[in-house]
Amino acid sequence: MIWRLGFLVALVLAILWVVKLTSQVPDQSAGVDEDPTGEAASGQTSSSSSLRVLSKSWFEMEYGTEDTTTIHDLEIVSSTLTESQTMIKDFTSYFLPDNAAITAFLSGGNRDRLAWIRPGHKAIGRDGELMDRFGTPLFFHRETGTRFQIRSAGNDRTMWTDDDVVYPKSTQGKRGN
Amino acid sequence: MGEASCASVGSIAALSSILNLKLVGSLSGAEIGPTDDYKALVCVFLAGGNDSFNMLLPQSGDGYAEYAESRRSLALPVSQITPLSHALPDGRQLGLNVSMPGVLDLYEAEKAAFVANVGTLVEATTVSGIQNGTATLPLGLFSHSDQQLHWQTSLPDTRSPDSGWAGRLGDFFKDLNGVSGVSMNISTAGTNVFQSSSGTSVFSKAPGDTPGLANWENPSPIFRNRRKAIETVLEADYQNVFERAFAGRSLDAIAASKEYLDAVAAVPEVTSPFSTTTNPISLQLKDVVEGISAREGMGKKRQTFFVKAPGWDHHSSLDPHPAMLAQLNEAITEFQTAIDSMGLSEKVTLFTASDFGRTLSPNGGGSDHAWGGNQIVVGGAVNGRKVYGSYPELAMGNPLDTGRGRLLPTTSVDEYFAELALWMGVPKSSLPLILPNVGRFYDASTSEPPLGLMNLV
Repeated sequence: MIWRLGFLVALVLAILWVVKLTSQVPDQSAGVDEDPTGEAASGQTSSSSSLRVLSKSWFEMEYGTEDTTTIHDLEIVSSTLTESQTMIKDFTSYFLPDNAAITAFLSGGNRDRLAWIRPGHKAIGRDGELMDRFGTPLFFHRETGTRFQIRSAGNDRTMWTDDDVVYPKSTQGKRGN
Repeated sequence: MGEASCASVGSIAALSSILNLKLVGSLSGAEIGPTDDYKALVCVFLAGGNDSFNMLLPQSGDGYAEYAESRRSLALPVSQITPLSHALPDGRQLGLNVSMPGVLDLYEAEKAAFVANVGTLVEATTVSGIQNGTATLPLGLFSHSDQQLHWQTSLPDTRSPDSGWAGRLGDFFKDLNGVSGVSMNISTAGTNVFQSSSGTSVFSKAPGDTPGLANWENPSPIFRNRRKAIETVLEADYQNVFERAFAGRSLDAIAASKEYLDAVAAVPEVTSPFSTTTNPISLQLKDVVEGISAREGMGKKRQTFFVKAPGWDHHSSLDPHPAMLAQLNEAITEFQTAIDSMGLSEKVTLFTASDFGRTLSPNGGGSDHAWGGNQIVVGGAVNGRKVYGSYPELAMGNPLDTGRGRLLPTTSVDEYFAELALWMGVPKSSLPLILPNVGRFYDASTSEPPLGLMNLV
């Protein structure tokens, strides 16, 4: 009888402990850290602001790295945009006309203050645009409300030339036509 | 919560309008009267986003200087702009791209007009509202498919509409158009949202092709046997509802094709002014003329036509743009000649639509997706030789500039289409059935028309 009572008390205490722990820990799903300074992306874990950088996002980990390629970078950006649409409500209601607006959105300029790209990331240029690995702003071609074709000017750093890199290459409804 | 509520209210309003259309479809005939004359709307959709600030643009003075400074490498020299014969009320002198002499002639003859800086809007919108995030914007702004959808439905606050505004016109005029199996809405560019609704289907006809199954009427034994086999399959008694519906729709389509061909055969062929076999817009408008000529055989008092011209998305270079405007000019000019020769100048109105305007600033050789743009309206019922709406300043950073010369529209598509719907015979009180959001931009209780574009007498 006593051991049963003890078991019940222990069970209740365990439940209370789990509830308390859950309420204290920020949402770790998908690698979300609260981080006002962007430090979380570099592995630190300060947590006191509304901006939350997804420090383990594919973008943060692999974009522009030496052992990858331009097409890989574009795939990362495309995937990041797709992921943002699953996590941010009403994506299609945002005013996203160009690279700078899209970069700001992915850097926390959204109603949920979620950032896939750390503000101040080295790939963000002076005008707030996301640059390719050659230092030229990417071009985002919005084909549908949720689908973008992304273009890098390539090694010659001139857009609309033969060495441009485009992802995805083949898209539905060729160039919106 | 607030946004969600607004969206819900909007959806309910749209749904309510669509349900009401079912109820009033039978009223439209009585309201308009059985002896009312024929009218047709022809939509020429320039898919991809026409760079219309190189179509209708300032031709001289400060206006041209602003234009040239904003457009830089994309700016047309003055020699490539033909001035309109009059200035805007504010003194600015506009001109038309030199590739469009026929449209200019129609304009000067008061058979054409322009609607300036028109675009999709959910509500009256300001640049500051966009900047501070309080504006409710068209969903998927700057995307091709969403903006095409919004232009065709006039419902920019939903991405899953169940009808286009011509489809709703079809529902409204259902009884007026009798019992013909051929839809009031004919497309030369395949099925589309614009002309579709739950109660109105699209009669689709590829340019130059004969609608229906090939050799259906061929008396040769082999084709006669094939026809019998197909009819046996389609006329069978199916238990499965989908099979039954598919067979029924197939039989309806075959009957409609025959009805269309019989109606075309019963009227003399229009002496065609269409001079080319390579202009894709002309080829489609030639078929539109055929569909209009056959209207009486199909018992039509109202028709709409959908023509689509692809290729206007000029990101990499604007070099092809003048030649495409020349194609559009040729097609419109020849079409209007044909309509005039049929004595239907006052009865047929052609209007252009496009995904969006384009950025004033270049991205190198081309321009990018923007918002407001300029459109052409042609026909004898147009109050022509006038630019409707408000032609915007083209200086970068002007009060309508949302960035890079993406201009906030000053006229909504609802106002543009309301004018056309009223001309088709929709009473003011019924406008919300066709354009559920029109009340956000136009007070139908006033005696003023939405724009003054059409002769509504």
